[in-house]
Amino acid sequence: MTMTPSHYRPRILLGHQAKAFLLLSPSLLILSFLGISIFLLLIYSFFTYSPGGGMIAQFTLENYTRLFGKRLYWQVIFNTILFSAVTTGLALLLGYPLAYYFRKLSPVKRTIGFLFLTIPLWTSVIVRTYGWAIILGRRGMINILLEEMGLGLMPLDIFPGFWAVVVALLEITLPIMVLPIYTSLTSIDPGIEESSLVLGAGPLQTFRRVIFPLTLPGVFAGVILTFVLVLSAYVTPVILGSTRDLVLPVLIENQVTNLYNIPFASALAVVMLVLMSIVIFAFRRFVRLDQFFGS
Amino acid sequence: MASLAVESLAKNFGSVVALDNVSLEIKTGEFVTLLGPSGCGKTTFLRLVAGLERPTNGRIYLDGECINDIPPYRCEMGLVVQNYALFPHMTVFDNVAYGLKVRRLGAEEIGRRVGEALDRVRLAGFEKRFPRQLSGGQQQRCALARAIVIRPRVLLLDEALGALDKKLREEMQVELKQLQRQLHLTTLHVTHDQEEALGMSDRIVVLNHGSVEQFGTPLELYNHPKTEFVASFIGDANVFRAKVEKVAADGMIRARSEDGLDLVCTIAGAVLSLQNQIVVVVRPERISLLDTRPEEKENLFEGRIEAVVYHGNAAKVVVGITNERRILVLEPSFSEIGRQSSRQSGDQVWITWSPGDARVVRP
Amino acid sequence: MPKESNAPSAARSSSHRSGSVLWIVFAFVMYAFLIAPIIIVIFMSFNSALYLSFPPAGLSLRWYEKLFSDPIYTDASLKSFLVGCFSVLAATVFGTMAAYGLQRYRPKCFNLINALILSPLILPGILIGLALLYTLNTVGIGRSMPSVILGHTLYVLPFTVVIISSALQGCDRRLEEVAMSLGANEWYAFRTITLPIIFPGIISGALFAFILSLDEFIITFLLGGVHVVTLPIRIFASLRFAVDPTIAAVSTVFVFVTTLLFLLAVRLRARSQKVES
Repeated sequence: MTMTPSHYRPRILLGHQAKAFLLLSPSLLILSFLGISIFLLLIYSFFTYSPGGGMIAQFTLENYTRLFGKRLYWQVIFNTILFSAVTTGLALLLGYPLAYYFRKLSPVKRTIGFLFLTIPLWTSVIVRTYGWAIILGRRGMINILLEEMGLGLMPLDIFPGFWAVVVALLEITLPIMVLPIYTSLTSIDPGIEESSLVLGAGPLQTFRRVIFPLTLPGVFAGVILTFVLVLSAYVTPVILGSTRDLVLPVLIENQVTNLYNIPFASALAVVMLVLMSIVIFAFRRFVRLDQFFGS
Repeated sequence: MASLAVESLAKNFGSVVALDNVSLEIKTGEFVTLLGPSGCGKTTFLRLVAGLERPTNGRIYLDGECINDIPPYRCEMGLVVQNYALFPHMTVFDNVAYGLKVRRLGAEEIGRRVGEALDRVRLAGFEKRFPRQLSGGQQQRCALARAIVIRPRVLLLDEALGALDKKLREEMQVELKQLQRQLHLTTLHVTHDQEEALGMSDRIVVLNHGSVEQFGTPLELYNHPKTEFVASFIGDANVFRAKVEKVAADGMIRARSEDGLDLVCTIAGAVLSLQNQIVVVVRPERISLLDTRPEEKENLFEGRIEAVVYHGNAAKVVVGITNERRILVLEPSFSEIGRQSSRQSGDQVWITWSPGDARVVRP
Repeated sequence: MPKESNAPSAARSSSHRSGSVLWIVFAFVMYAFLIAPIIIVIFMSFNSALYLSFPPAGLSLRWYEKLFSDPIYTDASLKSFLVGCFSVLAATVFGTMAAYGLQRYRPKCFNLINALILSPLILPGILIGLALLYTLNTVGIGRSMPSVILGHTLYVLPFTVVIISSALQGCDRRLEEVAMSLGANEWYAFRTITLPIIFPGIISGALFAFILSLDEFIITFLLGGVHVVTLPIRIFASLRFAVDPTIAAVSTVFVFVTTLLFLLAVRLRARSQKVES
């Protein structure tokens, strides 16, 4: 067997792994930048604040002792969790029926429905929050309407306030909750539902015993995504919330912008990350999130 | 036009062994078919030759030169796959011209050669159409034109006729063979359809679980199968596992099958040195079906017809000999005297075959 | 659509009908809820009064006039546009490369890399902004245009990768293999075969990314501060500190633009999926 002739000499023959790595390198580069930055956050949470802004690389636990020591900060953590829980609960309550409704629609109506449903996803949170401020404000739509109808003697103090934030958050969390549940619902073989009905179970029973359990992965995916989304919310609480409704993201921003207290802000950020991780890992067994991407 | 050879070729996908130590040589201008059931490794073999996968072991030679490290785009091979893979966003002309454009040929020469190729596959006039506007057979011919226009050294067909319906497939088999002859193209054809293989090939490689069972002409494979697998995969066969009882001086072997039948075969029909356990194979058309018991013959058994399956020009008759053993016999519809055979279920019959018609094969 | 069933249909259909009226009302309430704030804002943009109020005092286009003439807003629009263009360009190129690398050359730690790429989706914007801010300050870049562009690229990258990956999956790998057997090397095959086929998918991914970038607030706020003021930041400032009704006009135009882009992106995506089948 002869040697290969020169014109067949291969250039650097890269294996598949090398090629993949090469193509992924720019993305991985910037993602690593982010990863390292977040890791540094963890470290900074143990540094000391230097008054006037900035920090000194001196190990201390005072950020955490301050955080867990003062009642104010516990209140902030509690608010954050409360907002998430309430909004998630309401989103599930309203979102599940909506997903169910979409299932029964004709394709044309369904497309229109999805267009409406995803409005909060492609419109800016700023614009929407602005709109809610007008609707819920003191001199806003709802109050004016109530006055006209002679109902409101006292103008409702929704905005700024807890419920204003919840309502506005509900708007963005609805699509996040509906989409995975809808995906789950449509992946159920219609034959299963028919079999249940034929076997004598009424529609309500069929739903309770057959359909709902099969949609649990979608429900959990929606719950996780919604919870994390509300946990991270900044614009809505800061504009529509009162001073009593301080949440973690707003507090963090305060610390950074006004005081440039990096260590303390980092500690708060770490708490946020921990909360998120708890939620995700608690429900991780039930769901594979990547199934629900591809809206 | 090139010869192809592989030496100790092996390919693993993780822990799955797709090909195991395969060595063959294919002559220039030969039409060789890779035949076997799904998962036997035939497509893997083709992809290795094409350069689309790298072998775990072994070497591939094109005209004597090792091409293991040559990427697929320098191998000068034509590839036609089962779903044709025609470029949907290009016209028929552009599809066929693609390989020529890559080679930076002039517009005039491209035009000429594409026209030539389309004429050969009888698709002249379809240049401006898009693949979605073509029928299955037309798409197939377009894919073929695209592969041959680059004057490849080897033509690789991966179940290329699999998506066509029976009539069309048979037509294409003939056309393909004619084309291959005209161009004297070394061709490697992958299929699981043994009739296709028998009809088109100069030689056939029978693969099973990644290994070569037998490599020979269709006639050899059919009449002298070397293993049980080849005997039953190509054509029908009656297979007996038996234990040798006596080997006579005149070359006759007496054996007793597992289900208690006395078999007689000849050493001339045997491929291996004699061992105690053998596998005996008899083709259905070699068995005679008789209404009355003849005088003493070797391999004579009495039975009852269990089923008759009519096949137009012949009938397959299933005869039950014992409780477990059924023999398949192929009877032409018209016997020698010109009388139409009329076998029926339940008839009592006698079957026999001559010792020279049985084959002793490897299990 | 479910088949018609026989006997008990009469009783079922009447309750079904009143049940379905309830459903329709429910759906409409939900739709109204979802679109309410946008409608209000659009409404307000035509309000001639000076302050944030309802009901509107009269119809006027003065806020639109102000919007197009006031450099504060034209500047912010320009910034938004620039940030969007650069970050989407980067995210689309990186995203296409990443999608191709993942789909065609399955790397060994595929799942890990996949999770890594999708991570900015689930990370809170404030965390991303915060973390990047520190590091960027440390390396000296701090709050600036490049920082914002980096932040947006990271934010938008998962979307482009997912959308382009799905476009790639719809493009049969064997087309590239046949092209290679015909003599095309990987880059040539990509350029002449894969790219034209997935192009609508890439564009729709880029459009979605652009919309997300335009709408983004918190990362921009942290990484841009006063140096890079995009439209959302301008509106926010107005909401928080000095409410200028112009922002209603700004918001309306903003929504209008993003809606157009969104519809375009959806149509392109639908068309790209039809090509594959």
